[in-house]
Amino acid sequence: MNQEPFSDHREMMNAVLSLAYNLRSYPNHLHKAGYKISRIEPKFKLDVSQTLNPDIVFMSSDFVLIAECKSAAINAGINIKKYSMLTGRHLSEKGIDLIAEHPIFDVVIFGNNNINILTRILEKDGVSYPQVEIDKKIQKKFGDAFKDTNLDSMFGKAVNIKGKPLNIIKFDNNSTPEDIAPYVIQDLMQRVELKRTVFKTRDLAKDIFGATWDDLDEIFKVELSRKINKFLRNYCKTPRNKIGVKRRRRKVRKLPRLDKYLSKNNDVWTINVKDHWKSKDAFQKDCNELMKYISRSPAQKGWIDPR
Amino acid sequence: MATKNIISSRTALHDLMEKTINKNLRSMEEREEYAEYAVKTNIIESNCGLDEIPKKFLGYSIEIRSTVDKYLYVLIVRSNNKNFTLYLDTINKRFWKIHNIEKSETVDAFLNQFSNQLHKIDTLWMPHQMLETLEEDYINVGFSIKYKQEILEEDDLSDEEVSQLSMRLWSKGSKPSKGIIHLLETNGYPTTKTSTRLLNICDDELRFLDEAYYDGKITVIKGTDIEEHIHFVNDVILTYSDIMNRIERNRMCLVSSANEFEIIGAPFEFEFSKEQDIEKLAEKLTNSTKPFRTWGVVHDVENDFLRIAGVDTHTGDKFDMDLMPDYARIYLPKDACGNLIFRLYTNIQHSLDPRVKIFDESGTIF
Repeated sequence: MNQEPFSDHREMMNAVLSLAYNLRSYPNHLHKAGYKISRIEPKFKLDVSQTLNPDIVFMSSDFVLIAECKSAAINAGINIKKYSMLTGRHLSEKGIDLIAEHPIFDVVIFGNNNINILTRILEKDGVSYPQVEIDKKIQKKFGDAFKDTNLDSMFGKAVNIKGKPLNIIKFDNNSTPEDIAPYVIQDLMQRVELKRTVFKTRDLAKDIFGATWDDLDEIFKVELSRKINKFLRNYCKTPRNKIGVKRRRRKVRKLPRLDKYLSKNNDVWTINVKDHWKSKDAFQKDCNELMKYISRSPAQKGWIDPR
Repeated sequence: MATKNIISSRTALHDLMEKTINKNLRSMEEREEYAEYAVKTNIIESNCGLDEIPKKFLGYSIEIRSTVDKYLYVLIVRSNNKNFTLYLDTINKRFWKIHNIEKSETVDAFLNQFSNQLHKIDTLWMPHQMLETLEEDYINVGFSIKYKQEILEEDDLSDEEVSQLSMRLWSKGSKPSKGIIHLLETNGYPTTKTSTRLLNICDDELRFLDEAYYDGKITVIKGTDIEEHIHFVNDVILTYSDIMNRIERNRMCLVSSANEFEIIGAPFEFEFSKEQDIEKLAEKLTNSTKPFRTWGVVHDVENDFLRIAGVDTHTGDKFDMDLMPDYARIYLPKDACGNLIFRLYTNIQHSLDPRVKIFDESGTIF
């Protein structure tokens, strides 16, 4: 997972990935130019000591497009400059199907409203790849022309972006509780429906991540479990005072919580929602209240315990 | 109470159904009324094995008897001193056929509970375009239209909009049917067919007059050849399962190895014919009640945008949705049942926007 310390890197990745889908609700420049997503965050081995880690690789029938998403204008050009060293050999070593013996590579750098600062840093580092702004509008602003003339004409015109991009990558290292909470709640409801109501935090984290869980870094898994645990502890458990006695509901009523649906014994949680539409509806309303509270509470951005 | 019409083989079932349709045809000609209840077939979408069907639920008890045919079973259902017999054909594992010669209301009530209460069992949800596809090979001699605005309040509608439309047309030929639909379309009124009547005539001889409903129920109104009816039912299954396969090929997942990812699948996109109130729509889509039967929590709310992290309460599968005034996107994860897309799309047609369109990566689905 990308280590860029800004929360909107994930959003920018999603915005760029969305360009490759046949959407009506979002710009589809890359789809129209015939590109498909090949790999996300691949690691290409340049030599014994050097690895290149671009954000996304797109492929068309004639071109390879290496995309780098820069939501922050820091350390912009150091590694990116070496992307021009990538060849068909590196693709084949990764097991990517080759389109030609010597495919033509384009490199593009996506920035948001930071693109003016970003281009100066890139220039200083001697990087002149095409640079595309993707924010309220999408347009190539700086850098060389694309080798694929299709892309040049498409990104040359400013297109306003009305909707939001697809939500393909739901989390990364910098995900806040606001990002994770809906999927924790979604998993809790699925457990109710499938009658798998007893669980540990790590089971929940694994379910949320699905098939990719086993291949994730252990550090990331621990971090995600920790965040989920914190969410459950803060919002799904009845608060206790210093000597362990449950606080009276009257005192905590102001904060939306899900503690009436969840209980914890040692490390094991149990969710209890009756199998009736009225009970599910009540749970849904409480969950939505909680989501509203979390999204408007600035404290949650820093994971401060609301108690 | 004695149970009637117990059969022990597929041959016996065909004989029984053929005799019934012939008897009804004669009776209709002579006395203008049926001698027996009509032969009916319900197509059920199943994601489970026969052994997962509970023997008792909601006041019903089910006795399952096998037959000589490996895939055909007799279901004797008992409820409140009433017995009725269903014939369950599981030759297609995903789409079961339930034949019966019983009172419609009794079987409809049972199948309603059967598909509502049991995870992994659902009816079909055929949008009106699919019913129109079925009309291509036959003479269309009638239809039902049922549209009821269930998301917006009366006050939210403009003077031009229809809040409810129910219509039933039967005719001898296909001209009146086409004419009325054309009239409705020209005026921008709902044309959401919930059933279609199809006449199959070969060499001037009636083979069947069947009525196919959006939920997969197919009634033999008149008929002489049960094989033709079953052939038609199988064609409906084929049409439905082709689209189901297309939908399920688009289910999305991230596949990872050594910390890099590939994406498989793509979301589905609904395009509304006019701007929708997304908060009201989200409320209906997330309260787990009929017709959508989906539950969800709303997040990432911005102007004219929200996301739903949802659960299909019918199957327990997760799904995600983005809502905008003009569009909705649905992300169906790997292993989720594709029938959710049929159910959402068909019910949006029936209760919100009759002219809604649906797309995947290759273009329009219906």
